[in-house]
Amino acid sequence: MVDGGGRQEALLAQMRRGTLQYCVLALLASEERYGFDLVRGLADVDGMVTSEGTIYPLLSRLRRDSLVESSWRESPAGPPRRYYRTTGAGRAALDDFRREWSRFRDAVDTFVGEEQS
Amino acid sequence: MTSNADRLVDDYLEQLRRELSGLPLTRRRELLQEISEHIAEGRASLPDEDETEVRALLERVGEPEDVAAAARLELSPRRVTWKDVTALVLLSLGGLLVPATLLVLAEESSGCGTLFTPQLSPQPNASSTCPPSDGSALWGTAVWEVAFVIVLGLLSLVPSAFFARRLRRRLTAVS
Repeated sequence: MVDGGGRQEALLAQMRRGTLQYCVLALLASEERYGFDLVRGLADVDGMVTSEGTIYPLLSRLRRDSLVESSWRESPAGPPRRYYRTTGAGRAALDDFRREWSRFRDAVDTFVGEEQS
Repeated sequence: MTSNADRLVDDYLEQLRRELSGLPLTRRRELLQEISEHIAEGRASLPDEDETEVRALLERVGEPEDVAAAARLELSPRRVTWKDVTALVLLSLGGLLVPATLLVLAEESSGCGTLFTPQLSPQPNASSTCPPSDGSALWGTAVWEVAFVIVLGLLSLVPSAFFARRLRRRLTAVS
């Protein structure tokens, strides 16, 4: 049973990895947010994020891939904050994913779906 | 008491810094900065900063090794190129060529033959100081020559092994 639990976790981790970046892109498409705010927003939704620290490398990579851009703003109390928002390329990638995801999700649900009693 | 909380945070960041070793310097610095700021913001929004609260905050951030693993995942993998293979081969060969060259030079300067090279330019004076070419003496010098080549050859494998290890780590980093 322990081994089964380990496999379950690995599967979940893999599914998260593939989809998490699109959740980030979607959040940043509707409004620009700064790191802490975004990370907490993601983590607050159950089932999405296991550790908040792992989001920062993802953000950094999205920036390098030009899917997301950032700008520095003064903050009321404390050091300037880095605000992120999705770029045009990011939106295009997000749209592609949306199409694929709804197809994929529906397909999986057809087989796995909710058990009918 | 803030000193306990500060110590917890410092320990955490120190551990994270260690886990991030091997990553490119700029990535490492950037991530440490971001995590440090994240923790600072988290602490600022805590009602009161006792040790349990800070521990809970650090738990939410996650284990340093998990954060470091995530950072490694986002590294772009590097393909093995002909340059890498050539460098590896040259490194290994070079290590053998150096002692071989030194042996030949030694032979030249002493005028005596070595195990591997015959006496190229026999000189009248040198023949008396060269080891006689019968079995016993030759065996003595041969051991030193062989040991010389082996030791330097093995030493050349160290940079090769180091280089190969770094290459392997880059190859296994998945995008």
